[in-house]
Amino acid sequence: MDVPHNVEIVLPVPEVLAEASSAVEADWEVSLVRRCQLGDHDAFRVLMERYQRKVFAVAHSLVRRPADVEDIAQQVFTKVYFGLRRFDFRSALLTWIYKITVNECYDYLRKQRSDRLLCVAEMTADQVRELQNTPHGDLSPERRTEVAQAITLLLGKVSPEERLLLLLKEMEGYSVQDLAQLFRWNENTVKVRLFRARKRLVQFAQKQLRQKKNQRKGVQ
Amino acid sequence: MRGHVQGQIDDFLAERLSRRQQWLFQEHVDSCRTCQTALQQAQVARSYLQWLVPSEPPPQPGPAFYRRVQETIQQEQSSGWFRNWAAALHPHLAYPLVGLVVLLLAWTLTFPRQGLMEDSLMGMDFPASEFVQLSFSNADRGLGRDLVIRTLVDLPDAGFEQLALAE
Repeated sequence: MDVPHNVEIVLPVPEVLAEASSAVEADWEVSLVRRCQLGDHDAFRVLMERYQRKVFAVAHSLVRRPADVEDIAQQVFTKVYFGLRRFDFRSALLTWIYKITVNECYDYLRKQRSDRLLCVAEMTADQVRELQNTPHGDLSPERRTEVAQAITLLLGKVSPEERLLLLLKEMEGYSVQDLAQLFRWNENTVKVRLFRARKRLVQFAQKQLRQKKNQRKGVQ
Repeated sequence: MRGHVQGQIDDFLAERLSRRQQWLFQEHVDSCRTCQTALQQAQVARSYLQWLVPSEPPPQPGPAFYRRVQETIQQEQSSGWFRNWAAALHPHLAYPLVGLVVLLLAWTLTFPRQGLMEDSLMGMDFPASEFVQLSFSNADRGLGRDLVIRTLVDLPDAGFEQLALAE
């Protein structure tokens, strides 16, 4: 059967993870990292080509400005380059790169916050209700961006590990089994940590909601 | 009541439970407050995070992206020698070492000041040679005498004994 070369086949399992799940791929990843650690530029180029789309996708979800996304990705790979010397395979390489990406995005947002994010008021009570009830497609792109930024800020309140776990689970679509492989934890640990992370996220949202209500009462 | 079903929440949300499992899960959740809260939290957190899924596709890395990263790396390598050295060594060792060097430097810089203290009057950077050149008025002398008397009165008995021994 002829399959056109320019057609991408979408698989139900995340592509990189499906590859990484085989022992051969894991060995390949180890050898790639080892080569990078020895200063092999070609190996680093291969590593970049393999993971750059993932980095761009996560950064885009959190930052939402194409020009900034490329700057962040550039910083991420610079940090990956220098940090690879100390990479000890305690988690999958992809998890480590994701972690750097998410941290870099939050550093960037913190720096930008004074002149950009402050105009997007932190979630109001109405916004929280809106989040739960409005279908995403019903909002204008600007409003969607605002709500996404409010969620990004909310997500910034949980620990970096919880943040990464939630992002990979709910946004990137990794299953508990995938996450267990990526973090090198057992499945029960993933479930417990996910449970805690969600609880904390919702608690922060509730706390914010209470504060807003109190502020409104104070004004009235 | 059966054990909690929090471990099945992800499978429930992803619709990976069989019909029977789903029914048992729902039955438990209806009667268990803890699992009900956990399920609600999972659903709410999920609804929040779905907003982060962008409607438009992410930008793609351009052909010059690798070159840009390489340039940044080279810049960092030429300017950030300490960072590279620290990275090669290990941050847990590098930073204490730097702290030690700073302490040594601080100690070396303060060392000559101790010699100056010996030449000064009461450690106030006021050399004794300059003190003797000062001329005192009668009023000054009176004040000085009062100060000496007051100091002697305030001295404890041991102080008098030391003075007597010195004489």
